[in-house]
Amino acid sequence: MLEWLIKFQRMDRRWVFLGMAIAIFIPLVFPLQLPFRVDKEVRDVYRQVEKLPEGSAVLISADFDPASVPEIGPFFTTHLHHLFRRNLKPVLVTLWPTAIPLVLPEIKAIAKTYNKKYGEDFVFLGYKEGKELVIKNIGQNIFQQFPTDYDGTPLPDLPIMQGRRQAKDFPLIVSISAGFPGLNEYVLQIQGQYNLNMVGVCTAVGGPDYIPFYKSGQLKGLSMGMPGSAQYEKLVWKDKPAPGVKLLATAAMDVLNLGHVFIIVLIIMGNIAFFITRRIEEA
Amino acid sequence: MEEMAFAQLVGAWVSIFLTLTVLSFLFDDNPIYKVAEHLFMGVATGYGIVEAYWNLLKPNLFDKIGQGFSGESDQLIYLIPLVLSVMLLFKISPKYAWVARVPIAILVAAYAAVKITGETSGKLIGQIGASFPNMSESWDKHGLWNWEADGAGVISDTLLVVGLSACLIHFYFSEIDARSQRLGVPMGIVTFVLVMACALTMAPIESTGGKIAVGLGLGLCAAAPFLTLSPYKHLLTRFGVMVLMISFGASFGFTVMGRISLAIGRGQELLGQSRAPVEVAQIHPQIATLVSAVIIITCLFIFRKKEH
Repeated sequence: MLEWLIKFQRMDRRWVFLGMAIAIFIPLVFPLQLPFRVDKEVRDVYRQVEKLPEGSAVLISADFDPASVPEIGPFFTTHLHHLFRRNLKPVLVTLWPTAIPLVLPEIKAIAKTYNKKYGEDFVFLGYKEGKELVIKNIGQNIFQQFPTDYDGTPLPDLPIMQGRRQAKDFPLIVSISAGFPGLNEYVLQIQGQYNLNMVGVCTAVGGPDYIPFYKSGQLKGLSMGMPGSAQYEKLVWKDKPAPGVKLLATAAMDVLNLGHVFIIVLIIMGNIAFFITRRIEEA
Repeated sequence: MEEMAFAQLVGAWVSIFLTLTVLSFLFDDNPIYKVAEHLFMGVATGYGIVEAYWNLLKPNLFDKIGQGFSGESDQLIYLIPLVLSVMLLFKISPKYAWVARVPIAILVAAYAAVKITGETSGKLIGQIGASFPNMSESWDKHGLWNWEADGAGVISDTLLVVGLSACLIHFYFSEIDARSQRLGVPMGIVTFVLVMACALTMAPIESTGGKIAVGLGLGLCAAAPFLTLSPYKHLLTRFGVMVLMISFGASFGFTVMGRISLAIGRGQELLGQSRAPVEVAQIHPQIATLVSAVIIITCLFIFRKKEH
């Protein structure tokens, strides 16, 4: 037994990687469909969208990159479906240059399925460099910060932008953020100053930083990482998803569960092995 | 069925191959991983430069200076940031590096101004207000402890405030003399009794149980910091360390979850689960994964053999 415990402590780390790979691929290939509950934070995000009157515009800041797509990409997709289904009008901006190829094709494809018209029912204002300064200007004057949309159309020519000159003209602001600049900067620069109704979506790593904003009421809802996206999918697609829609985050929940079980087992076994061998070595 | 362009098909296979190439590092450092690493760095840098030129320099600087020279005189003000940008480049010269201090000073000052207002309105005011919750309201909404609201209630509020005080006091390193140490316990008791009395008489709660619960909570919150001036300070700091450890543990847990999520994303890509069925039918991601895995394993085997 002692010999085995010593061997376990000196185990080649590649066995851990192999174990994790198995824990990831098996439930992906053979889904277990384990149940999960929806947290209050995510339910609040859903409620904020649900209580908007039809025709309202929602300002979405999509600040993510390909690396964070598995975590917050499913939320973004589901959120667009949610908005279009409720006849709400998304106005998208991004502070991350890497977000453009992720955001633009997605919104165009989803808008097509709901027969939504660019410029009237949705718009993409594009990317602007400047980090916090861009956010500050979004709070003051969007027309000045984004004179044209991504295609070069002047903002005053877009019907969707009529009467929506600054952040406070939007009844809801959604910051989908994978880091800096993103959710933190939106809360610091404009949420408090203009008392904006705002919800946040972040990666799991950033979650603990943003929970205080939700608890203090600065954020009206918060979705964190892949579980947040899965819970939002569950709320939006209560019965079943629309044809062609894949619930990627929901499908990943089994994998997350098994992956965590694997890590927890390793931590427990490692600790047991450490304490037993140390006691024997000391004796 | 909408046919995919040849470039898209090749791109999908390359992305699968590069995913497995990068993952091959988990087995051992190897030349094909290095190729992928350098390719990634090159592509990221190229993308960043192109984006910076077309989205930042051209529309915000060069176009405006061009307009200035073609008659719109007010646009010539953009020559100032151009000069400042050039001055920044002097940083690479050991002799004239001091020139770069001017734009750096302007950058730091502007950034500090932007940050200070944000931090004040967003964090300082917002978070200080939230650090002491309204316990009477908590009692009315949730009582002592509400399982359905993730444990919200008077107990949670008390733990929050006492935990916060304990964490802050943990970082109070100054020695407290023996005379001052005698003050803490009596002051804490007096504060506790006073706050309890105020809560019992003035708390806007109808039930006596509620008043007692809120009074106890508020009394503990107000009295706990006085333990700093007592021989029992170490108990409070130990509690602060425990709270910090729990918060670090939560952060670690979230980080692990984030990393597993990334692995899941790659797994879904390798198995073609993240793509539309139309694309899967044309790309055949499972075959691409298999072929890539065979190529990479063969390469690893050859490299190993050569090394030995």
